[in-house]
Order: sequence, then structure tokens, then C-alpha cells
Amino acid sequence: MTLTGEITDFEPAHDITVDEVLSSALERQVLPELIDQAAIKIMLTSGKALTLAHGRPVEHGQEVEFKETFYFEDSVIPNIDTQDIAHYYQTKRYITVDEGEVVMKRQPASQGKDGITVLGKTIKAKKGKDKKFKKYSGTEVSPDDENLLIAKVHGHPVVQPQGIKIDETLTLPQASLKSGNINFDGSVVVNGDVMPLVSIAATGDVFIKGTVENATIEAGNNIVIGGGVISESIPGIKKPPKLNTKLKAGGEIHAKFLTQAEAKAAGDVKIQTSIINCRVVAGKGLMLGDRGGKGCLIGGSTTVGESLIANELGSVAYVETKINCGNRQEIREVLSSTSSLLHRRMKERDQLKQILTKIKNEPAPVIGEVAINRRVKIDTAIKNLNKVLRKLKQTHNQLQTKIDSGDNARIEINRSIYPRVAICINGENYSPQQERGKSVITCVAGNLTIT
Amino acid sequence: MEHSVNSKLETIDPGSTEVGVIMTKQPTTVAPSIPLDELTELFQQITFHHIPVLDGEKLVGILSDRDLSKNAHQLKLKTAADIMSRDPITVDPTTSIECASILLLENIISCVPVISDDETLVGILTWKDLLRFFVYHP
Repeated sequence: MTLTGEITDFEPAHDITVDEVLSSALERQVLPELIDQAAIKIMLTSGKALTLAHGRPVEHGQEVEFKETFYFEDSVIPNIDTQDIAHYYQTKRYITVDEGEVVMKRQPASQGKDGITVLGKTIKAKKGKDKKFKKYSGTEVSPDDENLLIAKVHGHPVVQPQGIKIDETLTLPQASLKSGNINFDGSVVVNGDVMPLVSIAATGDVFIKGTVENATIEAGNNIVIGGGVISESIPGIKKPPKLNTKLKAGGEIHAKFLTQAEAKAAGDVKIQTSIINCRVVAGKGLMLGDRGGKGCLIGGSTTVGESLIANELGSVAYVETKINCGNRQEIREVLSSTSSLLHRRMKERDQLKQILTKIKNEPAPVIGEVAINRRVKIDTAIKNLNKVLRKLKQTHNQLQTKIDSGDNARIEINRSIYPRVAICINGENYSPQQERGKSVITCVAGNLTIT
Repeated sequence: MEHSVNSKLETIDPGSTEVGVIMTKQPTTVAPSIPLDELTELFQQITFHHIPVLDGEKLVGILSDRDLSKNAHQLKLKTAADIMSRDPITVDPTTSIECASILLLENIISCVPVISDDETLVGILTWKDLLRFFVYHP
């Protein structure tokens, strides 16, 4: 690959010329374009052994490369807060990609470049091994560029050999220290249990096949739990028992049972066996005893927007159980707030009208050389206020209609209701003094009825 | 005092932007019983010119450094309640900036207290807040 020159019996005065060295090299069949004449001159003046000609090194071809375009932030190093507490549950980030997003780039294999020796002999380059994208669910090769892989659906990208698959739902065997806290833009499926201190937040549904203990689950849509939901005192955290397990759903919540938990759903809450010492808020209805379960509600506080159906309310131990049914009260509060705003805006409009009347005959004021048409401006402001007033009146009327027709609050007890169950239905209170059997409690036009 | 001019102002429309977005929250307030000499000291320490007067949490009046100057000879004898302007013009956080600006200009006042549904004070809107809004937000 190289030609090295050395003067073995060096005498600076000796007159070996560059041409003589060149001729000698050419005699040895060295390619002239590879000879470094500057190096020959240095060798002749310094007497040092030098490389006088270089071959061209071979460049072997690069292997194909697949590189994902998203960044995994997973880290084994936990977040450490200002109190020096390490949060090992926050080491993972479950990223999502959108439909049409480029998820992987392919750098094709290269041919490489042949090398050459100083004598002109070719050194063959090895070609890089080329591979195409492999087909996985949720991705496809871009029709415009065979080196780009794009997502066909929104979901969680999982890197595979020569490609990526997109999981529309994030599926985990268990939610634990291993999975860390889960924050996912989509739906989450946990095939096992959700272990203590884990939190799951998903914009879609959350399905849990096992149980949930001392954990926080938040879903944009439904939370469906195959097992029960419990809170248990965490070591180091003393009494009083807290509702350490929290569920919050934009849709419905389904579970086998709830014990010392907090559950809030914008829609229905459906529990198979029991709710014990919980704080439950159901935007619509609460159904207990779903699918043939025991269906009892004992202790805690429960708020339902529309109806409550249970087999038993309270218990033979007369546990204090608070139930608030019907959202008429809440609607009234919103109505009151809307009325207040309506009056304020009307007052403002009247104030502006008075100002307009007052300045009606006044000449237009001038700032320096600029004439100000404040009448037009005030008139526009009044028109804007009128728009706001129209909207407020519409909201007001809708709320009023809801109140007028909102007597759908209903509590159905299929077996027993016990003393110390305190019911407030559309603002009317009822608490049985003695055990009652099958009952239906309604409140129509402010009249509480128990049958 | 906390100024709340923030990123919400990216799209400006005084007809729909609300006072709550630009008002000064948690303004300095005084009780009606505060003597005028104490008020004088207070005004020396602050950079603004109006202080709402609260009875508990309810707004009962508003006081300016000009009111105080007019009563400079009676600092030991009078309290805030004696010299404050009662029943000031008020707005609420959802009043439009357009409306609040007109109320300030046409009533020749330099600030309006901002009160909530239950008449408790939640902020104050001054002509400076409005000027900042109109000048610095395109």
C-alpha cells in the first residue's frame, strides 16, 4: 500500500536528485500519480526514511441501518425531588406516535470503494449487506420514499428487527415498579394487578384484569377492573386510613368491589359486589349488584347525578352511610351563578347606554389632531354585551329547563336499607329510623316519596 | 401584588378578552378603621395610587393618595372610612376589557376594583394595566 524511501549512506553534499528517485520508483512500477514529490525532497535533505507513495485504502460498504425517529427517555436513574426522595416509579415514559408520522428511517447499505496499491493493483471493497423494512402491524413504508417507515395508526411504537410495530393499546403484564408509572396517550391494558403506589393515566380506556391496590388510575374514557379495588395502609403511613386508591374516569367505572377507595366517573359506576367506606361520585348512575353480585353500599359518601340501584344500603351494624342523589342542587348553583352574571352584564350595558345618552350631543373629542369617535366605540361595546347577554340567557333557560324536568333522581333498594343511612335526594333529606325492605325513593317537584 | 399579564393574550380582542386576564391580583388593601397617618406611611412605601378598603372580605370603598392629600391636616383625627369613595364602580373578572376601559374613561376614574359573585375583592384594574394591554399586545 505504500512506498518507503531511505538513504542508507547519507551525505548531505551527495547530489541524488528528485528525478533519480522518481525514475527509481517508476522502474519499480509505482504509479506516478501516487508519488509524493514533496516527501522525496524532504528525504533528500534530511536523510530520514519517509513514505514516498501512498496507495488508496479500500472503503468497505456500510451495512444497512435502521434508526427510529422518536426518542426513548427511559432511564434507570430515578427522579430525585427537592427532599432527596428518589422516585423509582417515574423512570419510564410511554411515548406515542400519530398516524402518518415517520417512525423509522432506513440508511441503505453502501457499495464501498475499491482501494489501490502503489503498484496499481486493485483491492476490492466488500459491499454492505442490504435489508428492507420488515412488515409489522401499524406501520407501512412511505409511498414516496422507500427509506421511510410511517405509522398507519396512533399508538405506542415498539422497535422490532428492521421495523416498528405500533400498539394502539399499551399492554402490560402488570403495573408495578418494573413498569413504573404509566402515562399513555391511548388505552392501557394491564393483564395482571396494579401494584401499590403505581399511577396509570391514559387518555383512552384503562382495562385491568386483576386488582388495584393503593394506586391511582385516571382514564379519559372508561376504567374497567376485573378484580377489586382496595386501599391498604402503606408502611410508614399511620392512621387514620386514607383513601389511597383513586379512580377517575371521563366515562364509566366498572369493578368487582371498592373498599376504602375514591372513585369519580362522569358516567355510570357499576360495581358487582360491594362498596365499603368509599367516596364515590357518579355523574349519572350507580349500579350495585351488577351481574348478580351482593350489591351493598356501606359507609363513606356517595354522590350520584341521577339514580342509584343497590340491593342493600348501610349494614346491620348501622354504619353511617351518606348518599346524595340528583344533581338538581348543583344545577341550581350553576343557575344562580349564571343569573348573577346576567345581571352584571345587564348593569354594564345600562351603564354604557347612560354614557351614550350623556355624550349624544357632545362634539367628538380630539386628541391632538386625532378625532375620536367614542359614540361608535361605545355602541360597538353595547352590541358585544348584547351578544354575551343572549348567550347567557340561553344558558339560563337551558338550566331552568333541566331543573324543571330534572326529577329523574331515584334510589332503588332491592333488599334492605338500614338506619344511619342519610339520603339527600334533590335537596330533600331522608334517613330511615328502622330497617326497611325493598324500597324506591324519588323526589318529584320537591316532594320526597318512599314506596 | 402580582401582575397577571400572561400568554393568554396572544390573540387580542378587547371585546372578548376578560378583565380577569390582565387585572392585578391580590392587591394591597386596608381596613376602614386604619388611621390616616398610617395610610400616609403606607402610600410612601408603595408605587401605586389607589387602595381598596375592605370590611372583612367585602369591598366598602376605595382610597387614593389624592384623597389623603386633601385631608393632610387631619391625619390624626380621621380614618380611611371617613375619606374613602363609597360605592365605587366595579367590574368582575369576566367583564370585557372593552367595557372596563369605557367605564374608566367615561367616569374619569383611574382604577376599578374587580369583585367576585359574592362581592369579595379579587383584583384591581388600573389604567396602567389597560395601557400595557393595548400597547404591548398586538
